[in-house]
Amino acid sequence: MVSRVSFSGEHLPLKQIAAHHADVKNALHYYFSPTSSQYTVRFTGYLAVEIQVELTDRLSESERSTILTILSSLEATFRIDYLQRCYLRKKDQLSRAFRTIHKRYASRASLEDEILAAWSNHTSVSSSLIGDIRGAFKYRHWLAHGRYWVPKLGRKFDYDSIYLLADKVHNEFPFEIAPNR
Amino acid sequence: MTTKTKFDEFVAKQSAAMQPEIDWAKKKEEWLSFLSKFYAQVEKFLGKYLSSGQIRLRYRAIKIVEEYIGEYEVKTLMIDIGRNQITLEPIGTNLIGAKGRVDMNGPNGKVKFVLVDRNASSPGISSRVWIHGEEPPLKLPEAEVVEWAWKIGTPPPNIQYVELNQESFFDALMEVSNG
Repeated sequence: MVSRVSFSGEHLPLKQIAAHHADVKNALHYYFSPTSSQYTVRFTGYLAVEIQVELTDRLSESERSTILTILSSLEATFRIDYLQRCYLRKKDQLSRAFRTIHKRYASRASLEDEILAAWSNHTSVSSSLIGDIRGAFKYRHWLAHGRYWVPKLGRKFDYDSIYLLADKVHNEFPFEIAPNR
Repeated sequence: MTTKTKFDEFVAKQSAAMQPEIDWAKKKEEWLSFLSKFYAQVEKFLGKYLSSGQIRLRYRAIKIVEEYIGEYEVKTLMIDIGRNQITLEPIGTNLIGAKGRVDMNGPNGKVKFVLVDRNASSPGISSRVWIHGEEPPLKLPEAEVVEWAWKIGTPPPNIQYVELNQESFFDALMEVSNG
């Protein structure tokens, strides 16, 4: 018999990720501004435009790190739901499909090939929304594997759009949530 | 569930999957037209300061590459206010939750202008997903957008769409500037 996954209770809620991101962004703006006590030491010999370019780079990297965190959190939501539906032995079509997948792959089921495919086949979710989710995870794959190729994503993804997508999924999908630890 | 019900669902799913082809050329033209209107609005907001010479505008052509649309040219708008230079940079049209976006970039940050449903004050929920064979949730109002409008999108987590008018545009300019 396959052992159950123990849920850690540590996966981050979306709003907490966004709050963290906002603090980092504000801290960067402060650090790169003349009001910062470090300013004259840190930026000695810089042109104003160079400081601006460097700030833009830091903000862009910070956004990408946050995107990784958001999409990891979204994957956790899909996986917790998948496992919960299997453990609770619910009778709906999606839960039955998940149990069939679980018999073969247990917790190693692929998010894109098995879990999202089951959502697509057994629920009313629109193909465009599933397409956006797949595109976002392709983007995460690109970020997580060093961005060394030119990705074909179908859409432009940035922090705001990824946040919007994750928020939409959380609001519109009937997820089974993890039990309290 | 009976075979007939299952078949009904199967047919519904297959029909829903047959989405109409997107006319990308038309989508691009619409976006460029909305972008021109946006710039016209900005020029109108700043009219008094442009006439007095306190603010100067410069347009510059840049290339945007969007998947399915390809490479095309758009104009960025640079707004010079004293020593402050603020740029309005078009981002594209193939976006999640918006028909277009222009970012206002300045030394003190960024404000995003989004082309969204004129009646929307936030992204909202357009539909709820339900599992086949279960009772569908109460139908939400149709999400079809009948009229698009430029608004200011506040950052996550509380995304709100603020009406774009002279006052909100001036606030945005001051926010991204050193002012």
